[in-house]
Amino acid sequence: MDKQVIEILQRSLAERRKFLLEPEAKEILKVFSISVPPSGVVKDVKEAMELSETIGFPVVIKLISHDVIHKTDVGGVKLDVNSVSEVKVVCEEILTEISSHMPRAEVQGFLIEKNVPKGVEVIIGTVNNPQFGQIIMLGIGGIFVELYRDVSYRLVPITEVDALQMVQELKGFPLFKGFRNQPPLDIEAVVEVLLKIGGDKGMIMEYGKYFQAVDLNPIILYPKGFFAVDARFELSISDSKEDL
Amino acid sequence: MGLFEELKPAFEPKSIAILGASSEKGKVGYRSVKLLLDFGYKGQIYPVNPKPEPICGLQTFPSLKDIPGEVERALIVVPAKVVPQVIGDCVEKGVKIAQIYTAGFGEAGDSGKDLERIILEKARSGNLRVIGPNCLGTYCPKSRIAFDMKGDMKEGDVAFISQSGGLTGSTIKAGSVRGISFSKAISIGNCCDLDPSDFLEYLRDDPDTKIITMYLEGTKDGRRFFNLLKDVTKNKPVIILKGGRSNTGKRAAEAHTAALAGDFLIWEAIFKQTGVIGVDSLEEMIDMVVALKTIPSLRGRKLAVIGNGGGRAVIASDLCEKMNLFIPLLSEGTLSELRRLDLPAGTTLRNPVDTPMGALRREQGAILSKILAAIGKEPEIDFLLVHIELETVVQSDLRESNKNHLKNIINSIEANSSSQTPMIVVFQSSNDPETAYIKKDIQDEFVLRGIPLFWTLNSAILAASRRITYQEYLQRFYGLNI
Repeated sequence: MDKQVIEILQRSLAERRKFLLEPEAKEILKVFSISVPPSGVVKDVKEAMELSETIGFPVVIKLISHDVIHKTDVGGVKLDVNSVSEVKVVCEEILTEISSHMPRAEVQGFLIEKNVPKGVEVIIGTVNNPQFGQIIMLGIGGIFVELYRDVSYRLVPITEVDALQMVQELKGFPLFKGFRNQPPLDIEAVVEVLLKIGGDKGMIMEYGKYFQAVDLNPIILYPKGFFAVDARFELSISDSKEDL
Repeated sequence: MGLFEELKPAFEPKSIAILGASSEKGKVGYRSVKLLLDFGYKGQIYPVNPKPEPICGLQTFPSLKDIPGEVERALIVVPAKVVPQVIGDCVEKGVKIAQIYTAGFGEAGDSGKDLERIILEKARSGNLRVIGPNCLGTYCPKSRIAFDMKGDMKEGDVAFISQSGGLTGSTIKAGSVRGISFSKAISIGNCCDLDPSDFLEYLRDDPDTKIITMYLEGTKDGRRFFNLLKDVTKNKPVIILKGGRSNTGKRAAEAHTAALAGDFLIWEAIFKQTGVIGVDSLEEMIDMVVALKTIPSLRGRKLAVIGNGGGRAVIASDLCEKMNLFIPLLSEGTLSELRRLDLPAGTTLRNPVDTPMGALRREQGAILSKILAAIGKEPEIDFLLVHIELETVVQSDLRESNKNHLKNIINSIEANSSSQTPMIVVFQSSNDPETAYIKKDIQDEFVLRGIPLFWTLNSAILAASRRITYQEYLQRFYGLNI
């Protein structure tokens, strides 16, 4: 087991949290070499302005708070921030909004992240099913994934054949092959992420007992490569503390 | 002791005690004794009932402990509230398998669930394993144990695990019509102890079983079931009909067996990962067994469709495409060979090859043999799908006395059935009661010859495609050719 992952799990369990913070989730993804946008964590507005400049514009600014699970709902995510002065305005906006929506929420800081180019949004998730154990899902359709239900499932662990079939089973598979003059998408990258999460040496096989559900949503997929732009880890509280 | 040894008395018990045996005709306690006698069960039969009068001429015992010899298996038909006590008696007597026929447990509500818990606790306190409650138990022609009076008792190599008791009998019957016999069948009921995984593991190791079929609503330890499936399909095909997919179906299944019906999307994933052949009806399940037993290994997904009934061929082509089966055009060589047969107008030689009755009338039907031989040589074609409109042929025979097209068509099929290109045959019928006896003759003849026979194009196409999918699974995961 990886020292960094253990530390994150210990910390979140000690704080009796049900979810990992986004920077923690992304750290775990990095341990499994799943590509995430360049980013950093800052404590306040001043640091946010400095780091944004280092990362390079445009950036995304996200609120970090133990108390907020759905950041977007409370105005905690701002896309396409283009200058230092805008960073200041946006950060203050976030703080105002959070204090009006959730006055008692404790704010730990901001996640500053490189704004990544547009691409096709896919979702990869896992869930611990009471009957069958860990199950992995691949879906397409971005925010409409729940509407179209264009998803495929497998029980973890999966093989490379399983991963490839998961992609081929999607109704949206033609999109991956290059639909109507669009360039084909990086199918190998999707297979790779599926295996890094759900393969026999993947994240779930190693740490699955600590996770009730994991969502990499969205993953922005390009003709070459991808970025996991957001990640949500729901911890399974029972039986988690042992052997940590 | 392994599970295979542990469950052996469920199917091949040396002795059976019927707890709640009765001398009253019409009661289950009477029928259960009579069935064993009628079918010629060879082991010891011990009717247990406090009243001393003999049942079906057998001595009755007031209780289990009064039986002098060993009792391997108990069949429990007493009322639900007495069952826990009777299970206690079984443990004391050293019974190995108890089957609880009685209903009114988990499927009936919370108090029934409590009863099941008590039963399980008591059974675990000894070495007793429990089938049911709420089930018909086991069927095993080898040891002459049957479900009911209608039961076909021919020994075969197909096993059936069923979460519904009623379906067990119908499936055995439906199979026998198509020449399929069973090694074992189990109506598993509420599964308070033994569940689908246990029986699957038993059948994996059972040398008398080659194909495993299941009607399943849910299973408790899903992960064990998954791992077992993966293991079993390597050597024995597993066909599953999963019930309780729709919300209404789920509700019915809950009331039915108190099992947890999992999300069907997950079940579909499991089928793909484990090589299980999923089917959508009992009819498809039987078709699939026919396919596995009679269709040899297929080289690929390309077929030629040959027969009378142009519309049928169009519908078949549509389904083939949906099931990823391909109907390629025939090569010039094959086409010129077919042209030399000089078939009448109305015949289409591309593929599907449409040979209307006018063509089949040539040589009183024997022309079909030449058509099949020509197409069978086509290297591009992996298998032939031959379809005949039964009533059309029969009418021709009736109209022209002393002609026998049907006989010649069947002969043509048989003459080509062992060629290197496998053939699947469909007699499409409009279910005219007048032709029912002919259908039976054809069925019996084809079973005897081992030629794959289906009664609709639809069922043949589904079964063939699933047969190939299973083959592809084995090739992909294990490099096996079956």
